[in-house]
Amino acid sequence: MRSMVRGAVAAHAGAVRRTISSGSRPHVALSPTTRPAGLLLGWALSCVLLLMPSGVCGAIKDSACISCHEGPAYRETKDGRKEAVHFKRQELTGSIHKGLVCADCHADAAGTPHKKELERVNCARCHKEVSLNFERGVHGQALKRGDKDAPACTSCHGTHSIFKVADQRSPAHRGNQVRLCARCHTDVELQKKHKLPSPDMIKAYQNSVHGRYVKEGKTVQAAVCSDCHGAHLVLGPKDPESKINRSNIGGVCGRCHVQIFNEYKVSIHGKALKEGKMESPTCTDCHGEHTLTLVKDPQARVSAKNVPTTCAKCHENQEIIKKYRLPSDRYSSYVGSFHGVAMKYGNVTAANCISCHETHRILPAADPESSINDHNLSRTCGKCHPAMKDVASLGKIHVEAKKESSLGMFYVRQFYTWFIGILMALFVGYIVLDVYGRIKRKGSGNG
Amino acid sequence: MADNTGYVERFTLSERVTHILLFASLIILSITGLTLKYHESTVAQWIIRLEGGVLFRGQIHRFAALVLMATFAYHILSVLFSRKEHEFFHDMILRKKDFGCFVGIFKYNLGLQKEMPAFDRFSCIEKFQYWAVGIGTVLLSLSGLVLWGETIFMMLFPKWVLDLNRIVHSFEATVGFLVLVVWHQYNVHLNPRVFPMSKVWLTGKISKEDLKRDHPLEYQRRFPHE
Repeated sequence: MRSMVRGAVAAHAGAVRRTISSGSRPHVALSPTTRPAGLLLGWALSCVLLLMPSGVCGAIKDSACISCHEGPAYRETKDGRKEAVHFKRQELTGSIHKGLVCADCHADAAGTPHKKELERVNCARCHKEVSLNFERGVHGQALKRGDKDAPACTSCHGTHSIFKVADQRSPAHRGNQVRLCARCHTDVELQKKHKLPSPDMIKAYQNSVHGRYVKEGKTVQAAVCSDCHGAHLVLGPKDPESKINRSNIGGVCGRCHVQIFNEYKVSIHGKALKEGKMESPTCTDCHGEHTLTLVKDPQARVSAKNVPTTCAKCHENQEIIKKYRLPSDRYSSYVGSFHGVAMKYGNVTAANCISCHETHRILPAADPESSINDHNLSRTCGKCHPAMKDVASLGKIHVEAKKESSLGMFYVRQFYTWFIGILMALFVGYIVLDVYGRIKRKGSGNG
Repeated sequence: MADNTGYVERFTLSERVTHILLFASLIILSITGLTLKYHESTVAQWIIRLEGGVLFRGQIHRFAALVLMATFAYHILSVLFSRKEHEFFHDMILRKKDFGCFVGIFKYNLGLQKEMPAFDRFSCIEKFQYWAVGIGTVLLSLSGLVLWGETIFMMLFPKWVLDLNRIVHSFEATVGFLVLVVWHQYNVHLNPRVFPMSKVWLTGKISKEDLKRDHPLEYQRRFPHE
């Protein structure tokens, strides 16, 4: 990151552009200070003949810049050393900006000799909208505060060798982007200094299904940083405008996972979140963010084995249960059921929460479309128990021997608890007395 | 009836085989069943792995259940069609005095009563154990069959019936297990008089001496002139 910033500074201080038309070799002969007429001519020529893409005409011909910056140009560093401020023409090969002249970006270098410290290049002169977005984002805000570590345009897009983001040579290209962001976001010192999220997230991302796809070169199929966080308008999750705000995550994932998002939108979770019930889960609550892996990965939060604990995070959370009057003991009653025990002992084909409640399109039982609506039970249970047909109603599924969920089971348990208790007392009493009697009779010679 | 060695037959070969099949199947059923009931404990998890996982555990359990039910059916048929077994069953029928005999045993052991209650062929303890196992087997077989055919019974009954069925199966099994492991094992193994084991279940024979002491009424019936 620091090297990036330094690069950017170097760019402001000493970058020189040449126009395409200036030919393969620059004209070194003209000295702008002694030949103002020539300069003027050059300026007029560039304006009239070359149709500058930015519409801003350089006040100085590139050849003038190059005469110094391919050669002896230097600047003084803070510790008084002389540092070359070179520009190599090759830097512009293929660059999207190869049609610009130096002064288009380095406007304050229009007159020579230009002042010692040039202004930071203002990309906003052309890229207005993007700049506005950037300035509102966390990186732009940090820059505004004067944070030297914050990335500027050049940190991600380069200085002279600027390519379209779709071009593989661009550092911001989908295939390079993770590495680009990781340069700062895996820096432990920066993380501590600016209280950035833990660098572990990048590592986790690299092992995630998205990260692995990117590594394999399938960059179109997999999300990279900017897909979820935005490219220029990067905002913290609490900002309602942020792409990673709870209310917006569904839409962000839904850009690629269209079908799933459509299912989720109509589900009880999707609807609740839309109504502002912020505890309602969105994609990342079940799938994880950077850690997200395929369902078939046994470590995934949504693998068959882990689904119950994932749902239990909310459905066993007493605060949430009370607040939204959710039915309680969903998890504990499942864990004690045949399905739950089978799952626990590694039989991952046993039903878990989503086997009956559906994965994304989770609907309340009262909804006639719901998989757990009485009319659909034959189909739902029939997925695993094909012999089960014409089931009208099953009644309570999640039951435990508790007064609230099943009175019958509660009383049967009470009965047996007492029965077994009394029986055991009798057995133990019998055995103790039998031993006692034998010892006593033996003592009295009667045994 | 009595041979020259002073022993009399107590259990026929058929009864002894029935007993072996009964306890063999019950031991397997207990191990496979209790591990499911207490599936959360580490010991149970270890045993379930030993049993070949939770699914194979179920198969072992159902196989043993078939053996138990076959044994039970065989016993019923014997009682119905064999004279000897008919008598066996007749001797097992609980009578009024059997309910009072426990008090007698308690009193005798406490020294409040001089004599042990006099038993016929089967003591009240043996009778209670017989009936506990008999009733338990019926209840467990029926509820077990419902559990086995869960899909069919789901279609026949509302789920609360099946929930009750499950909990009854689990608790009834616990009762049976305790009757046999605590009470029966004490009476036939740990009891100082027979320790380490009463061999009647293997030989089927009981000495006249023991018979006279433990089953005086039967002794009197068999040997009215001694």
